[in-house]
Amino acid sequence: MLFPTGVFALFFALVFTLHWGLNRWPLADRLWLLLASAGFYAFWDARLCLLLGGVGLWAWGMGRLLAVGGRRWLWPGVAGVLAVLGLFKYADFFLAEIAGRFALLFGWQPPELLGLVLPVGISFYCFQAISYMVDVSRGDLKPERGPLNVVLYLGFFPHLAAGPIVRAAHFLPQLQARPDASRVPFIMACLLILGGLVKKLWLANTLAVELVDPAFRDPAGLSGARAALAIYGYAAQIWCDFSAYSDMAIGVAALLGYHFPRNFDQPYRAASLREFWRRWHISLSFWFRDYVYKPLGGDRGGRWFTARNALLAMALSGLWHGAAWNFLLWGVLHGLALVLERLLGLEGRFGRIGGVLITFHITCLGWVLFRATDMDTAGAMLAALGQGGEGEAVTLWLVAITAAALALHVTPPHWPQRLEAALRPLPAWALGLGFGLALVIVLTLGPAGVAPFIYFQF
Amino acid sequence: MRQPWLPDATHMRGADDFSAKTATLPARRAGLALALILLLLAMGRAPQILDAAFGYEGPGSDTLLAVAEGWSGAMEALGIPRVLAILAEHLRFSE
Repeated sequence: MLFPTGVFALFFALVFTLHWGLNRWPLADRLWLLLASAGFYAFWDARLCLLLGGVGLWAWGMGRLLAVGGRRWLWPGVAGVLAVLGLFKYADFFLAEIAGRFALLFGWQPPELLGLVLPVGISFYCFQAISYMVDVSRGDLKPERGPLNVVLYLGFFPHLAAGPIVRAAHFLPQLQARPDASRVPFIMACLLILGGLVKKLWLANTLAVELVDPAFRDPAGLSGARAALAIYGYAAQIWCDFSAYSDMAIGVAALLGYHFPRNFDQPYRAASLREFWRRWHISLSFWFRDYVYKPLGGDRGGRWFTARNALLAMALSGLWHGAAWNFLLWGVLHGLALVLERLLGLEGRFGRIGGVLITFHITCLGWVLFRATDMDTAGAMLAALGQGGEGEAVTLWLVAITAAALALHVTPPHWPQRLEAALRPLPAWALGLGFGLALVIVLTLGPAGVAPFIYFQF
Repeated sequence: MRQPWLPDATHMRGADDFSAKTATLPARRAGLALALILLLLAMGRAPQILDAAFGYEGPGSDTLLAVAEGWSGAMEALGIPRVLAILAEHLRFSE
């Protein structure tokens, strides 16, 4: 079930009504939210609910063991979750790319692939399960007495399919308290949802269909300018697409009285790679910082020790996105750039504008690896940059749509708050009419149909 | 409390969409506004609702189709799909 659809609107109306209607009975309310989340997930495949429930029960059980048996239960707990993730997401990659190549080398029969379907959102809820166990082991969170809150934390439908990865220590206390029915942040939630729809339907979908997808399908026929525009276009598309999902998830959760932290903060304004990762997919960056980079030692050792940790964390971050060489290389590229930036002291050396331009173009280079289905396509796309004026031309419309998407980065960072302040005096019925009319216009002017969000595949 | 819009919220580090200044509504009024949003969506998306009803083959499909046809006919009588079609023709986001 996708957010920008009529089915989701009906589903959410029902969830909203019963959730606030059950506000006096917190247990019934949380059971309702769990049931609704299971229904949301079952739209893809009902069997996936069993997997999600299993991971949730495992994390809860390990949390109980951590409480009575101490930290020695942390590694078995984390290993169990990683085993599930590894089986569904990485088993075939390693069987084909590692065991398969090894077998060919010695003339053995290559192993058969498992062919398991990748469950939607598995990377997100597995990382949240790890967050729960680590937070409990560190004493940041008391272990839950029953499994309900832990399973609901992992499966809460607004962030189930593509994040944000909310830390257990941030979200579980919200589930433990009764949501305040007298304070629903309605205006900001609707602004986030509306803004997300504009970014997804008008910008991301248009860029994908009219510029990026055709370019990456056949890079050989592109002129240099068109290839460059397609790469810039993908940088804009992936930001519009993923930040749109995050904004809508944050808005939907807020309408139910729950808070998810911001996941994107105008990332292409970053003047260094370090800053970029504080602005891009913030919840994943912080997850890797807190649960991988720091446990590896962080920057507590020498320069090379720190560089190794950064490189390892970024390579794993690349692999988290997908079981393929291009994602691994994308992570390594970012890791190397971060390491060089730090070792050579490049941060801040080129001025603000120079830093922004350099950082943006390094991330664009990374996006070529990220978007290409294989290394040949990535190579062909980069080669097309040097092809001069022959091939498909650049149109004013495509330049305008790419520029419009990227121009959202130079809007004042607090304009949604200013808009919210302007709308604050309006009565509820006027807000409903205004947002309703705006939604109809956004949907009417957008392209027909809704493409799945890019991050659903991770 | 972790929700920044609640009075006793703990302070969060980093930029966020919500703060102690975020405007809030009681859930009942938010529900009223949401109901109006859904009504307008149903009015503006009547042709798409009819298409979806035609594609639905589960239990109660005949009733659903009859309701969708009635609703779509009422919206056509009001001229809403025509206005939106003109809007889309001139301003749709595509080349």
